[in-house]
Amino acid sequence: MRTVVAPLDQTVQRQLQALPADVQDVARGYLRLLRLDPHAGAPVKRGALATYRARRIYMNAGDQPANVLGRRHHGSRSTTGTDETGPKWRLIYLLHEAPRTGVRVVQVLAIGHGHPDRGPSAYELAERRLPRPDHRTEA
Amino acid sequence: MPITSYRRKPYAAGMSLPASARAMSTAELQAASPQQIIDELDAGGAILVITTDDPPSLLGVLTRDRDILGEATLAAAIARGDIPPLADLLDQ
Repeated sequence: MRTVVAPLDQTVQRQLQALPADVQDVARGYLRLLRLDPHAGAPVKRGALATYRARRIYMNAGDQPANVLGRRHHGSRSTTGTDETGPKWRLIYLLHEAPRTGVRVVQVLAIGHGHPDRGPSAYELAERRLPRPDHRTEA
Repeated sequence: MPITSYRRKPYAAGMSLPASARAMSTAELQAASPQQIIDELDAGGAILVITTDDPPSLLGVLTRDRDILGEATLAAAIARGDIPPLADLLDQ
């Protein structure tokens, strides 16, 4: 199956641009990684995101996403940033696997701080992007 | 000639049948615990969703079959405009 990473929508683009410059580079590296290894992120375990089988990548400044490739730990924790608080940042995405169509599509829902002191976390931002009943699809 | 004998559950799995299947009305679904439904479907079950009319009409099948879920969430994301149409995506 062919894997594509959908272009980031404007909201996620803004989230990406709001990150510190070094973390932005790391996030872009993980986006490239997802094209090669779409299962790199660890499944979200709780809440509405888990019902969509959303995945998350833990990341920090200084990570080298290319080094994650091929390891089957599925992004549980990145290799750097092992300070007391662990990796600060999250990249949360849906992986639409459509075998009959022959594609896997990575849709990034949010990029941001995992557990900020103030403001919404990346998880809360991602939940806001989940479908609502008023979003009707045409037959 | 080798003969393989299957008990009921492995036979169902071998035939790709859902591990369990039952009918629920939309009202019953609304009242049910979402996590209980998710667990049942994740265990390979399927639920026939019916209306509360008499006689009830069959609306469709609720499933978390990984393949069907992937196709459906992808189509819905494209329909909502969350991601571009497939042709555009594949042109990347």
